[in-house]
Amino acid sequence: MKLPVAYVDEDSIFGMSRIRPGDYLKSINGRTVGPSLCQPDLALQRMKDALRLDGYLCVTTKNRDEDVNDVLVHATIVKPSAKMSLKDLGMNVWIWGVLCIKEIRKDSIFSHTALRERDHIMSVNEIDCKNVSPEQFKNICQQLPQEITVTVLRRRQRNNGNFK
Amino acid sequence: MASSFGPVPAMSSAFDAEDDTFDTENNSSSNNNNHNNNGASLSPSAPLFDLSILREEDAAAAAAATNTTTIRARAIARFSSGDDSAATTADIASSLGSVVMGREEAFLKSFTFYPAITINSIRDSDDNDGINSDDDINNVDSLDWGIEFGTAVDGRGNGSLSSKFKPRI
Repeated sequence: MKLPVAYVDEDSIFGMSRIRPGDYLKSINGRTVGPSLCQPDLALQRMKDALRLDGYLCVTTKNRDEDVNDVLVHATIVKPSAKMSLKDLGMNVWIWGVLCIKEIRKDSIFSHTALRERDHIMSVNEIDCKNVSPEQFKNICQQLPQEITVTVLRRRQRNNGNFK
Repeated sequence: MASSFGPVPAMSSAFDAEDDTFDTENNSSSNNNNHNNNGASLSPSAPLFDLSILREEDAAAAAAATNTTTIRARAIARFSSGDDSAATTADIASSLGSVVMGREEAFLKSFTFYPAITINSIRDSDDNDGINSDDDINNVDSLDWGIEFGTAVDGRGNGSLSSKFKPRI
């Protein structure tokens, strides 16, 4: 059983996310939405409880279950302070063939997202990162005042540090 | 179908951890905290979240009944099924983002929201400065988030004195 998102109010905080109708709820604050939570009211109550108890809310969705080679990951965070830098948010990036996530600090804000170290960064807030340097990426994230959506490409096969 | 949570005065004060004041009955919420989110705020009438979730079978029935499937959803469906004759490249690009370019097959999305950073612990705390554990952080000065202790002023309007603290994130 799955719980699909039926509606996202563009004026709510979820309007800043990439979550759209048709996406299936995957986890709430790291806890998988299993059969016991496959009730709309229970899932929303879990969100409310997670925000109250953990002090933050992280909702993860997916669009399909099949095994695939490439997964496009959209991770949106809402900066609690516009002043926070990429380091403050817990991420470090570098060029490893392409722009990649080098480190996500444990217990940081970015550690509560779907992003992982070594993910290939494609864009941030629709800004194409194909030719963006790590310093430029940091500057972009520093300048963004509110939400940051990092889009990465995650390939299933990675051998010897290669993405192919 | 699930209900939506009510509107909030501002994003940073979207949820009052003390009195748990989401109001799903009349779309109002009370909040006495004095957060400062440095310009990051939503419309005063914006709801915290409005994310309706349906059972899978209900969603299918609703979509069939209302025919409100979005262009984006149609593009995904056509793209996923290999039947992209009706979905132009522009449709897919505008719907899925320019970075997709027809290569990716699956999506994983996360949305992380911090209403405010709160104080986890205080080092060398001054008992008279009005800053206590679990206080929300308001103005921040030279803070190294999550690693070192920093300096902040109380977010609850208890004065402007500072104390060393470690943020909870």
